Amino acid sequence: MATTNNIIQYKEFSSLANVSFWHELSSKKLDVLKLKEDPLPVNAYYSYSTSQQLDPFLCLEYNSFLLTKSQSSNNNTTDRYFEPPTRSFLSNGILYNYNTAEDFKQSPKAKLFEDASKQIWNDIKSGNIEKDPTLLNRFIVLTFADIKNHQFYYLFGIPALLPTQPFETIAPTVTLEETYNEQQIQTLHSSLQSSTLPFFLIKNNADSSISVGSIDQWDSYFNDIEVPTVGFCDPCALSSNPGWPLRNFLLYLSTARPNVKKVRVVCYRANIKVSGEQTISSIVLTVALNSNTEWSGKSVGWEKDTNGKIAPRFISLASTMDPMKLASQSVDLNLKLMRWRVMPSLDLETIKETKCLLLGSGTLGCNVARCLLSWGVRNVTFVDSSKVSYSNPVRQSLFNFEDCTPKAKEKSVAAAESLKRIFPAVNATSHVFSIPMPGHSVSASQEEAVKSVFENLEDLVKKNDVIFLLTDSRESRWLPTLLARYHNKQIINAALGFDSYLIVRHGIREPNANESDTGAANLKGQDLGCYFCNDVIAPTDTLKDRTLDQMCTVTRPGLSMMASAIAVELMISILHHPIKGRAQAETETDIYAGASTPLGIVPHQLRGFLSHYQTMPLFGHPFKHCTACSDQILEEFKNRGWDFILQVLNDSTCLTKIAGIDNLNQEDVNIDWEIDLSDDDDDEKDNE
Amino acid sequence: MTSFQEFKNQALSLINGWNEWCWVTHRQRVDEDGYLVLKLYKNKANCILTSTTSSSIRNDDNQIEDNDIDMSIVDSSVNSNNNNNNNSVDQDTDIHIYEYHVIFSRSYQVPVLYLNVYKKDSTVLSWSDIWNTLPLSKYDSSSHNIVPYFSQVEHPILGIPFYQLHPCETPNLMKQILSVSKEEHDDEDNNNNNDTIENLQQYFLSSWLSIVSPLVGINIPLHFLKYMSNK
Ligand SMILES: [Zn+2]
Repeated sequence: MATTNNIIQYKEFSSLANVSFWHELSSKKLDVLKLKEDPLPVNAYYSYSTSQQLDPFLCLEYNSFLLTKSQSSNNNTTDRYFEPPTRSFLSNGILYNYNTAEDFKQSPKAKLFEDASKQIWNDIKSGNIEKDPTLLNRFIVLTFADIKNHQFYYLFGIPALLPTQPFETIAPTVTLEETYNEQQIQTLHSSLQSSTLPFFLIKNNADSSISVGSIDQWDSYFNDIEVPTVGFCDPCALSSNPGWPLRNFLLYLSTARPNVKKVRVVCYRANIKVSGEQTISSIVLTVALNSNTEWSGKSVGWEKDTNGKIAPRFISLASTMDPMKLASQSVDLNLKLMRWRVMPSLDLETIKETKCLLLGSGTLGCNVARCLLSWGVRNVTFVDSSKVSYSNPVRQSLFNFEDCTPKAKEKSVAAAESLKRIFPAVNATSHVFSIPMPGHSVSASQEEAVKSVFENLEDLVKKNDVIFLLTDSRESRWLPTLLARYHNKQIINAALGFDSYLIVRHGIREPNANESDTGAANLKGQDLGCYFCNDVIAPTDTLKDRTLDQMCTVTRPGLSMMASAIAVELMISILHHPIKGRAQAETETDIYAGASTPLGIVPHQLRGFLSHYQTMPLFGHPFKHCTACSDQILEEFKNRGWDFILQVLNDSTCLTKIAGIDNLNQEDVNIDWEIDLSDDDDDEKDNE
Repeated sequence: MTSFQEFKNQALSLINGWNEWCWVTHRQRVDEDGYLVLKLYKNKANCILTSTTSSSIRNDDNQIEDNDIDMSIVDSSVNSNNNNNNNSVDQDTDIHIYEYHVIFSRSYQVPVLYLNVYKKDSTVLSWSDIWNTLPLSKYDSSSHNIVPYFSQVEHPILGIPFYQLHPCETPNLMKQILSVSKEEHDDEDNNNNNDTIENLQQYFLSSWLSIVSPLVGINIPLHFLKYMSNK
């Protein structure tokens, strides 16, 4: 008589619901189920284990909601059916999805589990198992899908029906090699290699060969044999325990074959050579069957959580389902492709971290923002005081008709919103104010308001790394030029004429930490002229500017895209220079001498002429009497702050005095505050 | 490799020598469907799990009633935190499932490798976590920047995010490899030039896989190398 030590202990299944399964459940819930709580048929599979450290898995995947061909009622040949992968075996299940956490908690778990158990028992009693042995492998899964947060709770039950008396082994467990010779094992492997039979019979033939058959061949296989040999595809890899499918199979055998007292069970573990070159060895049990054995009415097989308690498991798939996270990751990897393909030294991290302030949200502002976005810049702040008008959307690439009506949106606000719609991970903010301008006098009643605008602007300049000057008037560029110069921030200035444009990177006073006069040529820093230096230093250029300025209200539509793109690319080049904005101004000749950055040269100014399709890199020294960037002006600002600014706003003529221009030949001086530089455009001025 | 059918033929013959790969099809009666799938289970130390440990199992055969199941659901935001900090003893959570798919690209006319890595509970590993476990990342450590041979794409069949080893260099790489082997063959035998090229083309998939596998953490089984050299 066997002792209780011989009671077979089975390795339970552990559920493995793949990401693709939860994706499928989400879309099922959204598109098909909606609020219905109907039970859904699902199909899972199990395979041979490749490691003793691995639990036997019951796998659910993208196709688990498909029916098998035999489950399907119609014979439409174009239908997709569930098929387990090769060397895997079917397990039929039912999914109960609940719409609320409360319903999930209150679900009749024990009853659903018992229903599944009864179904298995009915199939055993009715003989259905002979036709379809996979019916022994039923399971249920209860889910609560919190679609909004991409979170799922689930509880698996894989019922094993308990017999009235537990099954025991009556001989030591041996290996397959101890039971069969090499030839026979080869036959076993080749018979089962592409088999879909989870349970099978093995017959020893008279010529010492073996045959493998399905369980409905019992009578022809085991006529008059005292100890028949059966087998099952065992997902367990342990050396002394069989896997879960054997439990219901033994109950089936003892019920369907009441005359059999003993059975030999091959726990077949395939012949998969894993990468470590070891194979998991199959084992052979000898089991006593008792003809009085029946189902006790009890069954076990609830899956435990990670703490070993029977409780729902939880999975959050935000990282693969949250569109925000997906978009960010995709954008990053896509940019890295450029680094891999073309330029290993591309510094995407610095670009991503660079904070950009866009002064002006018209054509230039919109196009600059879009180009920054394509480069992976994540921090963009828009400043503009005007509203989106009907003529804007066709040229200003961040706006559309809805931004004009029923109520016109502020441009900066609409631009930031639009940028976020394009790419939600971008940090886009907006400010609505007009930049204080020299000569635009401030009345006593406005003073506080203008002062706070000034403070806000100074704060923005301090907080950002690169300031794009994209406003539509020359005067509005003065204060940002001064502030950026004072706080050592990079300005990139873009201005448009009818068919020409000018991009200038303003010089930076403070030397860069990497600068050195003795080191490599590209480590020697240089200060450069600003937009206003140009005017006075080169009167002939000012004439060119005039053609640019006077045509301000109309520009060729493609021009803004070109100028914006060049402005952004210039910033990218600066960021790749070892001493950034202090990089020496390079021109065409430097291209041949060997450029200072992996992206090429870092010019000071770019002047483009659409009439002859040309862009020229130019260079200008800082003008020591510049009304915006000279030391005298900065010194005055340092000493008097807002008082100085207010004075200039009320009377711009003080600038030439402070800068020292009044001492120069008056003919060389040409400051015309009234000349407009366009940001495009057909904007009504009264919007400002 | 010029057609899906060729890819399929080579894939099926590959499985004969390397049976960890599976051929998966998604639609019945569609000729141009199917791809190779390999799943590897690795532990935290990034070793493929194969070693032998014995465990003692004791089945708990008590019938479970509704009240025996702790259905408490914590507020989801709290729960997700708990889950991360959980020092669970369950070794399953340490298992990383590497899922490799090889799908034929019609535009590049080459096989393309797709990869995703997740834990047993379906939690997907972040790209940086995956990348650091790939041998490819070590090759790159000398250069200042991480070279991304991968981009995140929608799996062409499953429609869920996967990482794709970019195929744009594959044709060039294979041209070089196949031409090198062709020259070797030419030295041996000048008569059967055309035969040789065809012969080599039929090893496109296995040659490519033997180059790519070590870079992405797939160990090529010895028996497959033997199988290949016998051919
Ligand atoms: Zn200046």
